[in-house]
Amino acid sequence: MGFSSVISFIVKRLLQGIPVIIGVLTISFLLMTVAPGDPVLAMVGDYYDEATLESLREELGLNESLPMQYVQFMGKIFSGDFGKSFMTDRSVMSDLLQKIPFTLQLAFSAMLLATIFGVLLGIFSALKKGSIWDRLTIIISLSGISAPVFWIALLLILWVGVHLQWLPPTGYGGLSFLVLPAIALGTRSMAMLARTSRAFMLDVLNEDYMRTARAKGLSETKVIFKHGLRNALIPLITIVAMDFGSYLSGAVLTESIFGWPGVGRFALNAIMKRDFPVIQGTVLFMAVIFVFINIIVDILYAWTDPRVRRSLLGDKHE
Amino acid sequence: MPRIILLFIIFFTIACRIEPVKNQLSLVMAGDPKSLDPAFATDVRSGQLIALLYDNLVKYGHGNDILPSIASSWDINNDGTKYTFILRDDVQFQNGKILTAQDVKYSFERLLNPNTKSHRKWLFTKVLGANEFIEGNVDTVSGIFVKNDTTISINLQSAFNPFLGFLAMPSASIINQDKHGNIVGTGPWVLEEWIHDGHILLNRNDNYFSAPPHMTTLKIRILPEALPRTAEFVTGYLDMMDVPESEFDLWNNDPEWSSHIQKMDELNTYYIGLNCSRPPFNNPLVRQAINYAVNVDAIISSVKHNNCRFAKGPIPPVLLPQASERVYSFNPEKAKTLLAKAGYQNGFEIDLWQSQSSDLLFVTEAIQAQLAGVGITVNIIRNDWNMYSKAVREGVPDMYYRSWYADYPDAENFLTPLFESEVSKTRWTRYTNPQLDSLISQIQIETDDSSRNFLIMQANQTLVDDAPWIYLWHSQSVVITNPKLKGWSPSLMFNAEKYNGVFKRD
Repeated sequence: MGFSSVISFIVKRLLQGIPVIIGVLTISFLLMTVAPGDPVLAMVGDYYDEATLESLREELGLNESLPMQYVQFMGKIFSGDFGKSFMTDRSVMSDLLQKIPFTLQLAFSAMLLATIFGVLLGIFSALKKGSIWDRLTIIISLSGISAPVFWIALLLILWVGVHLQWLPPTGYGGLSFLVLPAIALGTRSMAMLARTSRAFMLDVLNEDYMRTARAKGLSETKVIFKHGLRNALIPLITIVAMDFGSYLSGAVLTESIFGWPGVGRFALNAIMKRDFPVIQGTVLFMAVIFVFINIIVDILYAWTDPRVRRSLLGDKHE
Repeated sequence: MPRIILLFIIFFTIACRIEPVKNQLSLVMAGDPKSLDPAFATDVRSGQLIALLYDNLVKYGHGNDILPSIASSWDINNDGTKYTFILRDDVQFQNGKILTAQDVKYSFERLLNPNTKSHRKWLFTKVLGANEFIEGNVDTVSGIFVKNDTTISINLQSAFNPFLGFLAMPSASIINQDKHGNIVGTGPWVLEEWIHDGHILLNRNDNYFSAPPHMTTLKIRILPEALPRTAEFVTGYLDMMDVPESEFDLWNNDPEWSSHIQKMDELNTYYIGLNCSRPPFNNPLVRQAINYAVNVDAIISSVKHNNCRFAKGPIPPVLLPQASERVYSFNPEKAKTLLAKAGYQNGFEIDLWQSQSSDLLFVTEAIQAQLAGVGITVNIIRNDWNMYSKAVREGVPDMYYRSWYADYPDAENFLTPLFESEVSKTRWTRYTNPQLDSLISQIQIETDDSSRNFLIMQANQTLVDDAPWIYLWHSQSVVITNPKLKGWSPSLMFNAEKYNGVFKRD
């Protein structure tokens, strides 16, 4: 696969992302305008007069006609101006920039934990199919999928944080603060990955090419990881990517419980207060994240599977 | 695989407890304060933060008393229109500048200045010349007069008793603003770092004019959920916290902790607002009936764990000059009689609005069940806070569950912003009463204490009799502190505490 064709593929996909983002912004704009509630009421507190409310609405552009508001809003977004929060009067962009690193940190560690343990657990259980270990893994992964995030989070806080006092119960600021929220957030993905990788490993374990690999004299580890796992990678990549995307945008529960100052809480608070500029800023962030993740996923597909590579890049000379 | 498990075990054994930071006071808030600019402090949390960073001419004491702060003394003339403050000459802003009367004038005018866009202009609109200033006709407020560096006088258009209390509110903080628009205060703590929704870190102001704090740093964590707050507290990472309602019994019954719990009546009233503009609540008999039909004591003991005092009327007892009679206690028979007299012998169906929180549901469901006992069918309507408050403002709900917290410790604060006809009509219950309006305006201007007290009792009684609310309770703050923490006691006003007298000892 030539370098130039990869570049043109990425550019093409980025351009395709633009209408998606415009669509997402338009829908969220419409949702906000039809949603009941009044942002200016949340701004002024308990003392106000009608004139204040009116002048605030005027100032925030809430009195303009809908199409006018839409045009102004889109114009601002595309000139890079995310506006200021109705509530705090702070720039939405600077608040987002403060929160994104926290969100990235949490999402990456949760995903890393989930991927390593999930995939290993799945392979392990496939290899020991029918054994007590296999059943145990199935039970663990089933509970991991069924248990609500907040419940796992609270259990971890009480058990590891309060009872054993191994780690700080909540907060952020170093590796030791990251462990509990990452486990709480990543458990569900870990369980999904364990189940999926088990199923796919079982499928491929008895394939001819696996026997061939073993017959070549390759070590069992190499056979499993290089020949077996590679064929199970596509569904695993899909799970990892989609979960990662949702962690980046909506780890609200984990963030609230652990006091993590991330994007999810920022968005939720804004929705509660009808803080339109913040809602739009976070929605845009999330849309961009998903577009990027989808591009990365496609590239990863192409990297793992020559058939996909050929159809995506039109590369005939593999 | 075994190697990974081993690594995991090693990691957990190495990851050992991180000790709390020495000489740091750790507090917690349930959400991020809105702003640290006094002009935008409309929420309680901003008010609490601003009290640490700034000072006012006067401040609230632990109770409803008003103490000197930047002003060492003051004088109010006999007709209550002229306030003269003598300022301390040793007050330094955190940027090193010495505070003078000019800074006081600047701070108050900044609040009034339309360009500031403050929602707290009303603190000073009663000052002589304030309206001309707001309209832009003049470039200075004539009623705020700087006599010299340490003397400033404020002239009001007419006497207004709560004014001194206004001056202790967060938005009346004295600030210094530099060319870039940055503002600083004179407070005992200096802002070091603010991670929004995460934490606020403050350093001690060694030059604080009153006693500088004992602790070196003060950290406010933002933790929206109750259980994690408790977890942080029991592990020693938090020095104090409000005991969550669901954990009252747990802490109170723990002999090790119960002595570290401090309670204080708060300046608030919880109530059910009744829409007086249309049937059935335009009839005072129905409103009285419904006050008899709700068993407030039962809710206080079963839902609120006895951490509330039943409300006899709208004004908390601390702010009433003398104790009032309790008129409404649970009496379903009397309620039925009154309902029949009003023509509702078969009851009626009605909507009760509340904001989203499921904790509130315990209260509204209890009320729903109790009113069913007198033949009233209640539908509970839950909406998020924004929709709910918009609906209340527009007079949509027939009944709504809400609370009112004092902004300044004066009975008037429980009258004007809630029941004054013009306000009530456009925002709350739609209750209008010209007699009450005239009582309220007299309370605002009356300078003789005993006459004023009489008027307050009269206004209170009018509201009890007319019952535009179901009077529920006044809540208590329940704070638990780390046993090592000394020098702290609860305050009536949310922004009274500056934490400079607090220290830790083993």
